[in-house]
Amino acid sequence: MVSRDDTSQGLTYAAAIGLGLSFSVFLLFLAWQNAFEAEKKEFAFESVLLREAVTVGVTAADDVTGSLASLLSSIGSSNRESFRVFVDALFKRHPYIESVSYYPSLAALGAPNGQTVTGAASDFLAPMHIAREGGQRAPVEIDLVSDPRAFDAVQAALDSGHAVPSRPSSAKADLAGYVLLKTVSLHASPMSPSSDPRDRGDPRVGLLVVAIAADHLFRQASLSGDLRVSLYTESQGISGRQSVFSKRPDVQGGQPDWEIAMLSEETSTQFPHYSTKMIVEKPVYWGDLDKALIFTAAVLGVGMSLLLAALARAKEVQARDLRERTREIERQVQRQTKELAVTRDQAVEASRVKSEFLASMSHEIRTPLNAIIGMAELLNDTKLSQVQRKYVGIFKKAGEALQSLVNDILDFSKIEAGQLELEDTSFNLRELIEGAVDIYALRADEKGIELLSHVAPDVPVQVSGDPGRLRQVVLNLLGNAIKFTEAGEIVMSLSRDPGKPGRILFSVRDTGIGIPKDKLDMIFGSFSQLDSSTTRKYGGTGLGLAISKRLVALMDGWIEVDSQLGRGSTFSFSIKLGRAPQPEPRGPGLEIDLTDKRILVIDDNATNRLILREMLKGHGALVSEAVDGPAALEAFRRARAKTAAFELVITDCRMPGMDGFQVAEAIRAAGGEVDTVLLLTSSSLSDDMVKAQAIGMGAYLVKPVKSAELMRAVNQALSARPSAEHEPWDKTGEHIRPHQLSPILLVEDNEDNRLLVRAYLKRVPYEIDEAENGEIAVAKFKERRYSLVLMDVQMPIMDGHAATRAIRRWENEEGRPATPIIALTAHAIKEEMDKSKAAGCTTHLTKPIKKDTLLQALEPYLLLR
Amino acid sequence: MEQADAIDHHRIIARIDANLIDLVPGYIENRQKDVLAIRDALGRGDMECVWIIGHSMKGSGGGYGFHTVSEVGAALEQAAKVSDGDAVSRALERLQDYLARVEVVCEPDPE
Repeated sequence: MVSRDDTSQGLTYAAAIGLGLSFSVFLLFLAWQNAFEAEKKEFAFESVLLREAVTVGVTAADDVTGSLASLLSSIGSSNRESFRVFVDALFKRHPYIESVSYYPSLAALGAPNGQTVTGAASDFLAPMHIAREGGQRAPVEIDLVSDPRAFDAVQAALDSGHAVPSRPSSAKADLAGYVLLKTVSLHASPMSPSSDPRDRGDPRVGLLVVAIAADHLFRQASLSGDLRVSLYTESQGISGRQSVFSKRPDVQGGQPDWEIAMLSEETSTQFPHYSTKMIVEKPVYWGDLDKALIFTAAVLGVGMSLLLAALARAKEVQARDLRERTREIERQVQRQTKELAVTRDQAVEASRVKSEFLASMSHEIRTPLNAIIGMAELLNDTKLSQVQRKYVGIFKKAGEALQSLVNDILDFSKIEAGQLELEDTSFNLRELIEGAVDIYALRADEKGIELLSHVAPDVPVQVSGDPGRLRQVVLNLLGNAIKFTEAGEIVMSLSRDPGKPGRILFSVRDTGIGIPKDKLDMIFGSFSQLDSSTTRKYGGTGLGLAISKRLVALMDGWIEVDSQLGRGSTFSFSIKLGRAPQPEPRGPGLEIDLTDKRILVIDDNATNRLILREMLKGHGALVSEAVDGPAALEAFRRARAKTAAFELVITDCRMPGMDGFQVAEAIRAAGGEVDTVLLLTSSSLSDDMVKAQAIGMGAYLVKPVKSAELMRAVNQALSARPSAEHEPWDKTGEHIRPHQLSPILLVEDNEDNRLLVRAYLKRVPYEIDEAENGEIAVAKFKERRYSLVLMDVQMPIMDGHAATRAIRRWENEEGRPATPIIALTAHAIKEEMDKSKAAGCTTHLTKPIKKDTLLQALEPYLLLR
Repeated sequence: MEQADAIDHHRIIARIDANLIDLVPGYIENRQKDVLAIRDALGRGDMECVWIIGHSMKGSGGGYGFHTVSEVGAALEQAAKVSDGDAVSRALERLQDYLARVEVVCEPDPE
């Protein structure tokens, strides 16, 4: 098989050799041309001399013939001596004239085959032959009898009166040349020797024969040995060309040389009745050429060809080398790719193992950590000295920090390993945000910070997404804000992301320590806090924001921060949440109509006033604001003067100067019978509540204010039903008396545990109904309406998951809202939690059950206070 | 877990939530009934019965503050699963010993 490489290689060689050969041929051609031109020049030089000599010779011979004829015509044949002297003189001047003969009468000439030359022949005179003295040849004689060509020539000479050439006819004559025949008219006028004698009617006509030796003609010019010379004559009326002279060079030496070309020149000389033609040829032999240049060219050509071949060879070697190297590189790349693939697989495997290890380790660590924290709590509740309490506080805090770190690491490793999958479930966004803000309300209150939340009215309430992870991000941002804020306020707000349809913008603004500009980029990195002193002072793992950033990215969003050092920071993130169908409202508060109701909002915090105003205005209320007690009283008086008194006052409890109670009392003292809603803080809730009830205030609200709670409180105050504050709302919006509260269904097979839950919930104003297994629970659920279900998972007959599924199915069929079901699981492992969630449980609680955790779990769903 | 059960020579102190203190006598009594029931079941070779009682103890002990009861329950559950009578007997002895020595201290309710 011929490979492409071989073909290419062959082509390269062919091209190189072809190029070399072409070059060689070209060089040779040039050298050849050069050498040949030299030969041609030499030949031209030789031939021009020869031609000139011969032309001069034949012309002179013709002239001489004419002159002799004229002479004879004038002197007649009688004066032979004079003629001889004249001819001798001619011989001297014209060495090529070999002999001159004169036939005084044509009759002296025998005609062949009895023919008679037409012409009068009256005299018979003896012919006269004059040969060159010392000449080696006999004079040429004309024998008309034996030589028909001579007869024709004589006839032509007679007819034309001009000189006519002929071959010497005499066998004796060995003349290498020709004879010119010319008739001589004896009475011809010497003035017109060339005129036709017949025209004159002269009967006596002689014939002049001039023999011309061609070799002498050529001898005039130095005839070089290697020229071929041929002389021809051609007469009018005589057919054919007659060769009169031909000379070929002798072959020199024994070995005939290689004839490579023939140079040729022709010269014609025209006379009145004939012409002569001379052909000079010269063979060019290989030996004649100047071969130095040719050989040089040949050597150069061969050299060039070899050079090109060598170049081609070098190129081929180079190409082969390159191919070899390329193959080697390819092999290396393949090997390295394989190694990389193996390394990558190992890395992926290592990452998976790491994640599994972290997950299991985190779980293993969490179990004892729970014990440590639990024990710390228990220990803290015992009688301890101040120092001991401090120590316990420290290790409880350390345990909590460690637990938070473990949770963060687990989350982070899951996200990094791409194992974190987001849920897509329907949830109430407003409740989620308010719930998250609630978690930090107490801490904010303890630090003296206003923690506010504001959800813009156009933000959809019911959305779909991952509420757990969203809550995690929100809690992280809120936790950071509280951690780094010593005074002022923290505002959690939600609005539609302007210019980005379908996106919701979450932002947490604080008035904390702020972040230097050059550190803004690094705060979202792993384990990054501004510096180690930050960690020492504020605690935390530095993973929270890194996790938040990744969670937000998973939710197809982005998180950013804007901060001014010393003035505070705003963290905001924008995510896309799906819209979910709006569930049926749970209370009438949301639909309350406050159109044209005059409400005075008294709060020293501008943001809180803004939030309250927006919430109230959304329901049609006419809202006025006052920053403190005196301003409120002034506004109140002015309103009354205008007979546009306020129908409701919403006042913050804690304000500089006059507090909420004092303001309410002052208004009352000023004669204003107005319903009042008091804004309380979680830390002083119990004391303030008692006080509020003591002075008969309409209703109270726990900060941070939630839209639904505000509306319920406002409705309650305006309806003048102060005692109904604790009462929940059923679907129809009817108030339910405490004794009418729907009971809690406790589903637990273990009697001891049922007793335990009952003991923990003995102060809760809910009746507790019991079921020993899932089957009984489902049956009871269908019979009564329950506020909440506490569902053990592991039970005989029908387990908790099956029972939950049955309850959810039934609720769905009946079109009832979902009752909160809290699963009681044996382990805090994700699989169990996922199973519970999949079965339809609202949340879960891990055993063993503690009073605090139980109440915390119930709090979002029940009215426990 | 033993953390809550402080061992003081011959006594074992269990700190119990004040809300549960009224339930403790009944709870201890029920466990003593369990001891008898397990012994009976062991005599019959009824490991399923042992498993049920163990499972129940495991699920309730910790909640009350009797972590040893939970531990013994888990051990019983495990032993019953593999029908290991010796392990059941050992767990039973530990339970009896515990019930004999435990003394309850009330943890005040923060509320």
